[in-house]
Amino acid sequence: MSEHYNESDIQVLEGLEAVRKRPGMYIGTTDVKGLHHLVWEIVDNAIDEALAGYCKNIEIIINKDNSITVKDDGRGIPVGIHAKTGLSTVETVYTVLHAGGKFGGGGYKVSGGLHGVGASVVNALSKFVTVTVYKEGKIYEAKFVDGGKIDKHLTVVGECSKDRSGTTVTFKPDPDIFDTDIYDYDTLKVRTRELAFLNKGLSLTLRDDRDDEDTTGEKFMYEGGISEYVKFINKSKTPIHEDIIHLEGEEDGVIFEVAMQYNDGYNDNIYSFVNNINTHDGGTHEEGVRRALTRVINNYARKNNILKEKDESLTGDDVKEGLTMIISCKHPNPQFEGQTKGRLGNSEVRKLADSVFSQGFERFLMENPQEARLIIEKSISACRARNAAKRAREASRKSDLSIGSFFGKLTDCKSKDPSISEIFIVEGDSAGGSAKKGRDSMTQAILPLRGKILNVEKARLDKALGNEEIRTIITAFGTGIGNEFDLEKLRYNKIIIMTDADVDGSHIRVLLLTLFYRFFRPIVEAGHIYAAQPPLFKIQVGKTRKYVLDEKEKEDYLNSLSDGVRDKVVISRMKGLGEMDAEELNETTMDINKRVLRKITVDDCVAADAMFNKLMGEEVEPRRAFIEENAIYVQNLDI
Amino acid sequence: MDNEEKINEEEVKEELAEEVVDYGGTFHERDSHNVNDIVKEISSSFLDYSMSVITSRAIPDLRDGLKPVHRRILWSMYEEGNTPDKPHKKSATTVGYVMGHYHPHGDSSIYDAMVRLAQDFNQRYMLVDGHGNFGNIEGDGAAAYRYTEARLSKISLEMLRDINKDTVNMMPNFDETCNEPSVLPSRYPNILVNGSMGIAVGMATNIPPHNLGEVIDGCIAYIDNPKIDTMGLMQYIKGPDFPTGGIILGNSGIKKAYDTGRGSITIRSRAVIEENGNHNQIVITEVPYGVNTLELKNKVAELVHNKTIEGITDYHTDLKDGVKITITLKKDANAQVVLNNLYKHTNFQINYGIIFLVIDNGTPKTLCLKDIISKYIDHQKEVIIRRCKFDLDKAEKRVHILEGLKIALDHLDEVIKLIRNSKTDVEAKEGLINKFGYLLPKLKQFLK
Repeated sequence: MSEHYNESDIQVLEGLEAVRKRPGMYIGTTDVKGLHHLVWEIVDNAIDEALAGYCKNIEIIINKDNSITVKDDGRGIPVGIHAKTGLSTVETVYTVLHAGGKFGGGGYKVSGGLHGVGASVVNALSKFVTVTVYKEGKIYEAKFVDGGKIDKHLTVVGECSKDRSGTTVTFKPDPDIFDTDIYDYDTLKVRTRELAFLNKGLSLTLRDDRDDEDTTGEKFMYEGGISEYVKFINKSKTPIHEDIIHLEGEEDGVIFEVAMQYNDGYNDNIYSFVNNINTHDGGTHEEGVRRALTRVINNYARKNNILKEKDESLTGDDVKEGLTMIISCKHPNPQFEGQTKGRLGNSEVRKLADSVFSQGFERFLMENPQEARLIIEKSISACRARNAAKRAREASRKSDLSIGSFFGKLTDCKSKDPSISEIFIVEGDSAGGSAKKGRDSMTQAILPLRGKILNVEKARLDKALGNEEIRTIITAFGTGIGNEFDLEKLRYNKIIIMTDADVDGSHIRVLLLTLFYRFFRPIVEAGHIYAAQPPLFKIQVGKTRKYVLDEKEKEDYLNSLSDGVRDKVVISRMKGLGEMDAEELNETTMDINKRVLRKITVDDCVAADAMFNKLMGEEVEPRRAFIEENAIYVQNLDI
Repeated sequence: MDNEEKINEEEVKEELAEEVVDYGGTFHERDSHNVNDIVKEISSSFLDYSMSVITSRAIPDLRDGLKPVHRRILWSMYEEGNTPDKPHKKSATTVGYVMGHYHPHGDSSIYDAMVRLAQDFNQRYMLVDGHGNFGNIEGDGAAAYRYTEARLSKISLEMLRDINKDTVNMMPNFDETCNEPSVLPSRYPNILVNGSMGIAVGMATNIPPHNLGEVIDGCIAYIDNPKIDTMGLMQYIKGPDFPTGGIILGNSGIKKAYDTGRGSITIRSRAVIEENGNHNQIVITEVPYGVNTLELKNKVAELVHNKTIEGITDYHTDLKDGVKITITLKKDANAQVVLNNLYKHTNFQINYGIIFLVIDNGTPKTLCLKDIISKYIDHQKEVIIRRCKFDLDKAEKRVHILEGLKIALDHLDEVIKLIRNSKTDVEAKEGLINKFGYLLPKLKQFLK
């Protein structure tokens, strides 16, 4: 430690100490998600440079020791001494919370990071951080260790050419803080690609040096920006019009951009972003577009007599069927609302979005009457299906009122409090019986399914609603469906898919997840869906029985036994839930104190949508290609 | 005072809280859980399912042309001794045996598979010899398994021949209580002879049946000349040979399928136009493979009703001694025109897509005819080599014993004396080894 160490430093460390104590407050979680979040904190800084127009290339490298290097060719972090802290600006940015150039004042116009915590939080949670700044012909370097302690003050370590500028940051997350320290290439790739789409012309390179140092990595750069994003999402689908509609507008420093294309599917893929941040819950920018879309289509359809006078107007749900749309908004001062900060609240954006979209889209329709007709016909057929579904729903509601069939085969729990109730969706009637006997009747409801449910990826809402099994699930959840859907009304906090540990069980799980993702997506996104993990092996030693979840646990248990005992164990592979009696089932899979659940999360809507489309959709070829490509990764093969 | 009371109350509350099970608050935190992204969840689950369906459910193995369920049925019947030289056994026995020992799935899937093996309109050479109602080409199903009886057919014994001579690998069944063959010896090329049909995930197979004699001739031709090409093989294997007959139009589709593993052929019914009094009738004696005659009738009725085809007055199906469909025409109808219309609009003529998709070494592959034959021959080589080794081992063991006995006979008095003087078996054994230098296995047998 050098002699510059004085009391101001101590305060800084206290600030970062708070981050180490409560990492959740700053990065959400300390699991895999939080680990990857650190990367984006640094990359976001580089992207902000790009948004300001100074950075063209960003490189993200996973190093051999699972540390991450992010290189950009922006202006480089200022190197002068900061008046307030008495430290160099680099050290200030990396050690003081809420130190940043994004609070206004001319450094940046718009940015994803607003609170100036990104860099310092990463530093606080890292084993070591090295920052190298290339600026005005000199190379500066500062080093931090063990959660932000300054190891080496910013010094000039070399010279570079005058026109080279940029920042390179290498950090290694602290294994004491994170549950895991292994980076997943695919997770990084998905977001890197997304960022490349959202920032047209910006080149992002992702490289994994862990296995092979000589790789050049994957480069993502899209001149077409979000238009190419739409094309990417629609890759596995059949668009109904060829050209992607791309509209842009700017007002008072707010840049608004939208790209869209209709495909012949039944689902919509509308994603909106503000300053590269996905606004899951929409907000004013999305509202503006949706409102304009419905209005423009209805107006056009009426004017051109595609919708007759007596026909009812198309609703927002009709016009979004088969729509793939990316909305991107760059705002100097965005206000995020909602619990997860996933909704844009700036009301002036609504007006801008509406006017940009309605003018542009109207013009497109008038210039391309043929495409316009296709789009409107698609919406009209969606409208018809919606009405058919409504009739089916009403019919099912009527019949449901008769006593006994109200919940079909559902055995409900006693508790009416959704926050503690859970529902087990069980494969097969035979397992349903033991689940009913083994459950905690206070909080656990059981819904047995017979056989395989309908694949809703290939069926429309009205057909799906004709299916008995699906109707029962809808009634049991209590949320309603389609435009009546209300997450607040969900009757259970946990929806647990409990299928046999065989390949048909896997298939049923996929079918159920398809249903949930397509019809109850908010439930999935809110993290209410779980998969039960029935034991895979039963190990019997004399009279004691031990259930283990996987091969690894089995090996561990066997190794823990003494040599004499190990020879006498009988190991059997569990196949069906029906094999266990009620008590065993409760012990191993249902008891909240002993069970292990697998929580199903949605990290990336686009990837999820594409995957469902590929695996469960009408087209056979992509599915076949997927199987052939991934055949070597198969884990459980039933023989 | 006030304070004290408060404290007491709180204590009471705490005690109560311990007694009553607390479902609120931290309830859900007690779970331990792993997190999995939905994309990974569905892709790995889907992969498990699809690969399992492909490799061990819907697609046949190249070597014996059987899907696991069929193999298990044949093996079970063989184990049960349900062979052609004995009377038929109730199907329920077999279904139960297969389900309990080898195939942990529904009873109907097993019985349906077994029924198919016994249907003369599905199998070119039936592997199961059924007794009772095993369904018909009209689409009527078989009687329930408590009624019907079955045993292995003679040709099945060729599928299973030498199976007890260590000719194929055995693998443990699902609960590891017994062993089942991973493939049958299949002494004739069943994959081509009986064909197969199956829909897996993302891929499907459709292999037409062939004539046994032709296929064997083709195999021999390949053995004589491994460089033979598709045209050469087609000198012997002229094309598919369907159990239901029919005529294949042209052979370019056959050639393409044999060449590349995929092709499409057109199968047409065999029909003659007969005169009956003052009007004509079309008599159809063979229909394309896989066509249900009841559906045919319904389709014709629909076409007549819609006036797509005119001139038909009556339609009869006779299933006795093979299919015979008689279509009576109006006096003024042109029989050839009606027949052509039937070919065009109904399944009296069908397109049959051939896909030679098989499991080879655990992975699905689309193979050409020559590859199938060559890989089948490889399997046969292995079977024959393993059988010979097995027979050789057995014979060698026997030789050992006989030689030992011969030595003993030659020195009978000495041997008897030595054994009598020994106190224990071990002593006798050691004595004999020392004296005659015999090998241990010979002596064991002798001392018994």
